[in-house]
Amino acid sequence: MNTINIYVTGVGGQGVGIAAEIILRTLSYAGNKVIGVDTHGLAQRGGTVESFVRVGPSVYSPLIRKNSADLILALERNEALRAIQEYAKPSSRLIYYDTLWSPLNVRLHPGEVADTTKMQISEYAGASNRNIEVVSLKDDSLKDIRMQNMILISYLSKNKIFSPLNVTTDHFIKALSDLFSSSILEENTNILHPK
Amino acid sequence: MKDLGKILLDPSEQEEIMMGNYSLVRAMIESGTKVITSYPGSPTPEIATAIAAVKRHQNPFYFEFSTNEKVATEVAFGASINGHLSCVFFKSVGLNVAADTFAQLAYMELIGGMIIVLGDDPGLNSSQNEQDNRHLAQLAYIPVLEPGNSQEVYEMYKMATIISQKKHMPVILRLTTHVCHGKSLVKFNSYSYRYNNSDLTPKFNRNNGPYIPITSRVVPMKLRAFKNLEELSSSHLVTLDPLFTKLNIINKTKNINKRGIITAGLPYYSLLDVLSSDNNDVHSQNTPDILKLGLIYPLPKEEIANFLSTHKEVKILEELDGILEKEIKEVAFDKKIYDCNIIGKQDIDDYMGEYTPEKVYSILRKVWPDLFTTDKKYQRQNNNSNESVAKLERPPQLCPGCGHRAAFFAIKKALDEQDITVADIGCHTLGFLPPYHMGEVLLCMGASPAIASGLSLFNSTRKVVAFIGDSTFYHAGIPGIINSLFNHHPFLLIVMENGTTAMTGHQNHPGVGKNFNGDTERIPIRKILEGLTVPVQEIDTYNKEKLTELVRSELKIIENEKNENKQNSLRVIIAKHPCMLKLTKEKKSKADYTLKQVSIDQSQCTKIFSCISEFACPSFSYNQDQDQDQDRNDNKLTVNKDLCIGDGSCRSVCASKAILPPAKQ
Repeated sequence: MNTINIYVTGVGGQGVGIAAEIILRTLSYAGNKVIGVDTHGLAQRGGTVESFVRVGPSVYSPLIRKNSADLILALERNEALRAIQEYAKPSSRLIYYDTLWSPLNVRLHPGEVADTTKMQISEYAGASNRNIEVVSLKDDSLKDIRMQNMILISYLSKNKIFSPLNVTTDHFIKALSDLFSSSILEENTNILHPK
Repeated sequence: MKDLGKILLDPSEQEEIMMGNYSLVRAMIESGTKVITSYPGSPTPEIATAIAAVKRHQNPFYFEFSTNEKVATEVAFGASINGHLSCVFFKSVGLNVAADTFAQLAYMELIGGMIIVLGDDPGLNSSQNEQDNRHLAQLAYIPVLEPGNSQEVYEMYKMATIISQKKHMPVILRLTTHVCHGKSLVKFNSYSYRYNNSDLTPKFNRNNGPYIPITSRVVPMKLRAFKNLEELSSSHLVTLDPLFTKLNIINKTKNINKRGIITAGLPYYSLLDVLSSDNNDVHSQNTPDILKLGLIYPLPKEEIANFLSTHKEVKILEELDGILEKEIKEVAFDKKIYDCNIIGKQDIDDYMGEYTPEKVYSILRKVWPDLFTTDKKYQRQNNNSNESVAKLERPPQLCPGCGHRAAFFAIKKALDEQDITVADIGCHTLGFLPPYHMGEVLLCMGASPAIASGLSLFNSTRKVVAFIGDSTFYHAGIPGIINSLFNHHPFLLIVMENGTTAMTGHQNHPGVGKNFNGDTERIPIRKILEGLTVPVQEIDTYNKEKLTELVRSELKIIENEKNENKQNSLRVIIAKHPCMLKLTKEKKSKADYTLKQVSIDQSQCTKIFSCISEFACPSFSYNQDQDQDQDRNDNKLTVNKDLCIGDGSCRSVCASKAILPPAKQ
């Protein structure tokens, strides 16, 4: 089996690390060898944060090389474009949560620097030498922004994105039960698997 | 929810995916480490997260966050010479703070054993420099073990304790950022509860020493440090414990051109990735042999000589400085190995940054271009990097509601363009970014009062203002403050008090009233300063107008005293507001929490946008409620629903009073 590289990104405070941890555990429960790493420290204060998850028998370094991600998950639109610019392989897949947290430069220099548009993402991804599949998700009914990451996770589960890696919904639920308890576990499981 | 503490304590054999910072704590428990100390600093604070998880169940050891790294080292040393196995951990630059103590450790008979865990930061993820602490290890004659993943962290910590307890010498376990944070499967051995029946008798005895390094008495102590180092040959270590058979790894290939690589730590795993056929088209007949070292100081000279003499070309693949390189060249020279071409660092770039798979790939291409076939992936990478779409940078910034933002906004109004502001380490360091530009020079923990003292010499025209955080104040700020009193350096010091050690994950400090283990007497900064006879004013930073006035009036007093040639010194304003990230998290965890947010009265908004251009709370942006392809010229101010915490500290910033009070949305 070839190595699968998963790049998860967003802004500090969005729950990028926890999303990556869910994926890491899910893939491991399905019997895959996984390694990964998250951003800690300074960048967690509103900067770009990234997590790497690597799957396959011959993964050694937790880091993913530029332009070598098979799957990119982004929790914010500007970061989604940056992520595919830096990490996407041709014919890879981007799944992003479509919220906007304007970076400082966009806010300080309106008219000169602008937030990424959905069109920019699809144009960049769709270029013939890339052919990256793009999925944009948003759920305005979420009562807590800390659950935005679960929208991406539930997309992975519902659309069986990891079925080539032998992942079933149960593996996701097992991973969630490792990381959450009581009402938060219930709410997150509900997003994944509505009753 | 899986219970990390339970997993770490469970004495049976088990497997779990975890980061190096966590697997380390299992090794601490297994080896019977009794006293652990630290000062928080990335990449190591999660070691304390795991310790806290263990503590909930059972307390196999004593842990404290000390006031700084030097103090932490001293506490661990004291415990060790009383017979307890101890450990101190901190970040790379923490060793500079601890160095004065650290430099004597190898001279001492550490009867309990003592491990120093260092979190070096190649790649500068969270540090002010990229120092290679192997230099300091050599300076202090302390051996260094260097693991490359969570499994090795677990095993090498145990090896370190075996060496340290057998030889009564300090041992360093050198981690780097992505070894601390890298997550992979760790296999834990079973163990017996050594800590339950460990002997707690205080064993300090001067006859164990000498413990007094003065003048000629130091000579035998220094000799002992050298002798201990000399004894650490691989053949000797294996006699200590079979675990040491895993210390070094040798990968033999069938390469026809007798090439080899000597490496250590995480770069080894980057190298394996690069040489894996999964990632590159490698000419397998050219794949070099690898010698991965576990003990990187002192070096296993025999193994290295063997490796050199059986290869024609050996590349030394080491992150940061060329320390292995120099020593290995010395081995070759001393052993008269002249027919092996030793390839070290080739340009300045080789000395900088983390040895990621990308970096290792480009280094190997420089050394052996024929190792890889014409690499399509490499070319593709180059093509992509020529893309003309601009990338948006996103530097870290102060959180919504941060009291430091209100403070910088207010203080800036009291200063002239030419005035000089000095930063210290902490969240408030981010004030250097636009639009505040507050705190424009930074060295290290606690440096700002003394830097400001220097800036105030021969300076009667430009006012000097220094910032310092509260945890930093206790850590290393006090000597600089006392010096400015002692030698009469006039400047304004603003203590940015948020009631926690925020940047590293909200650890308690002496001003909080709680330490790691429970309640403790508060040591208020104000009282310390008053005891030193420093004039102190205290104000909540949300009170922006008053803060501006206060800064003006304090600076005026300093100026007047200067003009009157009075022997004056620093004056202090404590600009306080609780860390809103911590406070909001605590509030959100309560059942009765309802989110309130500010909103914009568009009919009142006169589009001055000072809420963005001067205050710059991340919650404010333009046109976010509109479809993106609409006309952007008519900017409309919007409040980001993901970000606003409803603190309302922005409201007084708007001259048009267009920001409506926080309400349920």
